[in-house]
Amino acid sequence: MNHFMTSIFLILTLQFTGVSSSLALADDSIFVIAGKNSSLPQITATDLKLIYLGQKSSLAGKPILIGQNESIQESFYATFTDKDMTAINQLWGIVIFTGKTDPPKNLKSDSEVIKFVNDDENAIGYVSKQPEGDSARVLAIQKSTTTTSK
Amino acid sequence: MDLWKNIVFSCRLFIFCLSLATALATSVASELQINGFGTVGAAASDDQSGYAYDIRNKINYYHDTKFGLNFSSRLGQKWSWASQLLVKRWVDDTFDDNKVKLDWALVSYHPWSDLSFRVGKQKLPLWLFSDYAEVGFLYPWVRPIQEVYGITPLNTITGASLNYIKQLGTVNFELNAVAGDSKVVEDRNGGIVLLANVKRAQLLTFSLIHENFLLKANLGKSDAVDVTQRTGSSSYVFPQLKYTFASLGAKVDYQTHFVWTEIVTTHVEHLSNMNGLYLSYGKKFGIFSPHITYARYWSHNYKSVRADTTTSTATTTVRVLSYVPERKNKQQSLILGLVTKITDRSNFKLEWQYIDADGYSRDTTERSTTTGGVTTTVTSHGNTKERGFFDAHPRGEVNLFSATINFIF
Repeated sequence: MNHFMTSIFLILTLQFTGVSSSLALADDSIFVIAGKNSSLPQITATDLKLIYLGQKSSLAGKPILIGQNESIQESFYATFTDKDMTAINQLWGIVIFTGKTDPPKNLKSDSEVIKFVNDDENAIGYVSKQPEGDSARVLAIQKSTTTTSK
Repeated sequence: MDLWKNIVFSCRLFIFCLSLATALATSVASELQINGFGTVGAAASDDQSGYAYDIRNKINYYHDTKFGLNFSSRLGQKWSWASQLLVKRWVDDTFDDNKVKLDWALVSYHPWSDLSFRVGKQKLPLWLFSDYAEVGFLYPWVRPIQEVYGITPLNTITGASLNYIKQLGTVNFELNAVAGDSKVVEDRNGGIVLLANVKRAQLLTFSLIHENFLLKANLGKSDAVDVTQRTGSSSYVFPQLKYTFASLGAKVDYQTHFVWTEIVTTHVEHLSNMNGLYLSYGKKFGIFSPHITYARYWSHNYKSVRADTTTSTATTTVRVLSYVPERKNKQQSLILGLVTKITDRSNFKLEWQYIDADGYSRDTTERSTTTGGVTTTVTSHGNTKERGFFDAHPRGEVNLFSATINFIF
């Protein structure tokens, strides 16, 4: 009985802490991109942080659209904002459920992000690999120092 | 009766979920953004008086349970729209009605990146988190602190707003101005229904926003509030009252510590003055975030005439003056809560609240009879105990236990 209870406790603990999740993206880079025809300038880490925390909605005076790659978002936010996903979801939840500004567009893969930024010249997003050829402009690169769950 | 309510509630929930599925299917083929939130809760106290309308000494599954669905989309570069549907136990003259209602709907225009205008039915950012008080996942308590958020039922306004943001380094200064009308219907559950037509309400909000803190100050007024108070078959109308309100709130989230605090005051001319405050501190330990809150509410009514009737016969004139009850009402609470993270978008909350409600109310009626030029006046009083946010005076201090699961998607 004790073994059974211990097993249940361990399973629940692993589920809650995410230890059972696979590890990915360790030491990978994250590329912040805009469309290939976009005139948006290079972006600083501070501006990027403010944009993805919902505190800045323009670059070079232009209102921007932001996309987020769900497959690497945990790693992205940990790298650029030092915040966990619960805090991020609460920050964006306030923006969304008060109708204040446009929330980030949730995208599932690098290719969806590349399509998204090319559909609007004022859109930015982030991908896990350097975009091939001239499919997109890279605005910033940051070495990911954390792990993420898939 | 409870079974019937359950059936009706389940049907409405089913229709709501069906709408959600349809909307999600539609969104695949469009740029429509769909998000949602929900809370499933249970609460009970150790007193038979109803707290915050209907929490008594029997488990209440309705009070905190609610579901919302949020839609938003861009309309070109400078325009966008957003709306929110909500199903919950609405506290109005259809008290037990769980129907789906349009919570708010607005169109935004962004001529420049730091300026936007919004038109439509919008949440009034009256207190620190009034505009997202329905979304339990976004704050630490099971429900907004009644000592502050129970003061006024005014939470949406139909009109226009202006929002200006100025970035100062890593801090944003935000100015929000809102103007419009609102209609409030509130069932006070003690047999009193309050109807208020709020006209020409204006609110100015100043905020300093940083990733680790928020400081917010509000100042507002309404030039004309027509309040009708219905008690049974009788009805009192207070026309053209001036309503003013102000608040100061702060939220700090630094490393593993979090603090929320707020102080608010409202003043209804010739009728009442209501004040509230709270201070809350919490600390994160992994997935657990215990917190402690002290809250206080105090109010008083002014002595003013609410009814003046005169009846005359050939020889006698009778004038009856009925006054708004002179009233002092207060409540204080201690809340111990625990928020447990389930996933990045959901949590489980447990809460114990210790409530002490006190005060008194004194009715005054003057009956003047004039016969043959001689007037005699008889004044009568009726004293009752006040009750904080209960529908009747509780037997003593009250313990209230609550649990909720909250999520967003």
